[in-house]
Amino acid sequence: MSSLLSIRDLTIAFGRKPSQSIVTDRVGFDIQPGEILSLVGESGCGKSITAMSILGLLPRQASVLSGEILFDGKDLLKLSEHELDLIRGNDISMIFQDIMFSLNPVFTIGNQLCEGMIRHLHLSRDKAFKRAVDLLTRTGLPNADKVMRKFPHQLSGGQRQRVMISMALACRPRLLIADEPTTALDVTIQMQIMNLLQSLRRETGMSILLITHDIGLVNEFADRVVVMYAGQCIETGRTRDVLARPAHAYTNALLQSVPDVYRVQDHLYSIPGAVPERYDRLRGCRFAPRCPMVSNCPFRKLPDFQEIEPGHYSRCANFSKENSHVNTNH
Amino acid sequence: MSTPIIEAQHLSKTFSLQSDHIIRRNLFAAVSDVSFAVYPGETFGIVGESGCGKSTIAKMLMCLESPTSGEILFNGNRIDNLTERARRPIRTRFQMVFQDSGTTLNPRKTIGDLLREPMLYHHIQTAGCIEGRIDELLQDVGLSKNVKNRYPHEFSGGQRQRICIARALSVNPELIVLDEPVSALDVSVQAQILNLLQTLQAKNNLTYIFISHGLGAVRYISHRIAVMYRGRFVETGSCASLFTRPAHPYTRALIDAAPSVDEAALTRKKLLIEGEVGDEIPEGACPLIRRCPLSHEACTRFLHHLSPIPNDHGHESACLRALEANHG
Repeated sequence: MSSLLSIRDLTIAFGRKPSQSIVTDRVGFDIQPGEILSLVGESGCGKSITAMSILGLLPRQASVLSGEILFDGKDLLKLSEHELDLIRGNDISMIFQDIMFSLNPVFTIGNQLCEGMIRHLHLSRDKAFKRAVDLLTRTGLPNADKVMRKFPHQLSGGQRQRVMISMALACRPRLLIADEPTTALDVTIQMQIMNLLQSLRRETGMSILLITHDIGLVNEFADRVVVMYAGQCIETGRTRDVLARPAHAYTNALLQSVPDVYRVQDHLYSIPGAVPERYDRLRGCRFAPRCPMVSNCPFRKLPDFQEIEPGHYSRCANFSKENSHVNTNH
Repeated sequence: MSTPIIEAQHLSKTFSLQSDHIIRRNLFAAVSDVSFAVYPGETFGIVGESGCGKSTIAKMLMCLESPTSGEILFNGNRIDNLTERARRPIRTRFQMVFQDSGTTLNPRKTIGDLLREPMLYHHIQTAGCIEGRIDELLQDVGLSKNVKNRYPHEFSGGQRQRICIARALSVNPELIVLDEPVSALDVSVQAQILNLLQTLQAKNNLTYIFISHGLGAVRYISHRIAVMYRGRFVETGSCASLFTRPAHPYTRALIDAAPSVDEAALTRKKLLIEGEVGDEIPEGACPLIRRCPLSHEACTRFLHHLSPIPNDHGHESACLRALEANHG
């Protein structure tokens, strides 16, 4: 099966030399048609910047130093702004965390929803309006034609996110990038939105790149997961495999530090220290300064990805095959 | 049983929403008839979604907001009707930690100043031993004493939250109200702060009121929990009974909606509620009526009183069909 999107060795830097700092270091992953792939990590690990780079939405001070982003075999990094415009909101669309800032406060919902369809699908205003009402209804908004005449501030957070999703789906994208789509919402609304995304994926066959810091969401909704730490991919595999048998000291420690609703925990494991703010000067494994297993670590240089089981890769010396006798519990 | 350290009796708070077009004042009941008691040494968790009134309760307990009706008793004495001057001597005995550590620390003061100020104001320490006490506080919250001359912006969110905790501890309180103390933090840092809070509680014999929308954190740290919905307590009980035998459909829905890393979460039958908090409800009906899958005729004229669950000590629910909530 050929991948819908594949990112290879993507390195992004902020600023100019000599004070340049590398924010993603040779990041790579594939998304298959129809799958939900989750990019998970703590704040500042480079997950959002990776997502932004796919659609050419990097902030001005950022630049891509190397790598390629292949969508359907085409390298998105080589496209002109005009060519990217034909893909944005059309083949690939995106929903954001800060819903309030993603909708224009001075236009009605209807106006904003129709704009993309008129532009990309060349529909007439009437047809676009009908399709917009249809989309809103499908995302579970009651009284869709009333909502069309409202302004963003008249809607609740959950309703706005449904509008954003309708807008993202307007041109039947093949890839939806969802950057922390439910972080600003309450848990019951989060569940509704995630269930909606999952059922839309099933109906339309689109792929979803789900960017989140919540491992619980990954567990419940993602088919595959890429774990990022300090600008690097450190572990990837099917969600079931990675969460049941984490093969990187960071993933393992992170899973044990989550206070979980379904578990009685007497003591939470906590990773010492904090995510480094500038990590591009760290040599070798970037998790080593905080790693509970660092004393077992035979070499303090970053190992290559090793296949732990079919489709499950990790770059942790503690879990490599030569070192499989090491106890996985700290 | 010992006397409660803090007690709320029929606490209500109503805000008026002024509208430009309508002269009539719209009243919004943020908290309605909430009663509870917290005992020394325990952690009382209050959980609910945004806008349910949990922060308003925190502010009323701290006397930052005065209740519209009801009473607040601290160690058996009423504190909500005192003047600020009369309240000052007991102010040191209850403190608060806020969610946003970035805006609760004065950016123009050093960490040393921030910790010194409350002690000087309340005459806790004499000038001679104040520096030693600051070092001790910083050490207690896991920071080095070299940070005294640095400013809040030089610290990460987790470290700033440690500073806020140190500041609350500086006046030797008995009770700390923690309003979403870990919600803005990364998972790995969140675990550090939760563990720190537990260590400090054991060391200083503290009582906590822990307010959060994160059910996992509340389950981990609390002894007893109250679930709030639209300004009311809908269920209270011990941590164990509330999470294993939820007796209100809203509690059950909150637990089921919280994303879990547990594999069992995938196969569990979930109770999902539809709609949103803001949906209109008929007068006098159960606040959850529009969203609840168990609602029926009787729920439309339902008064919201917590009533005990049979054979489950200390567990109360405001649902007519309390016992069915766990099987839906």
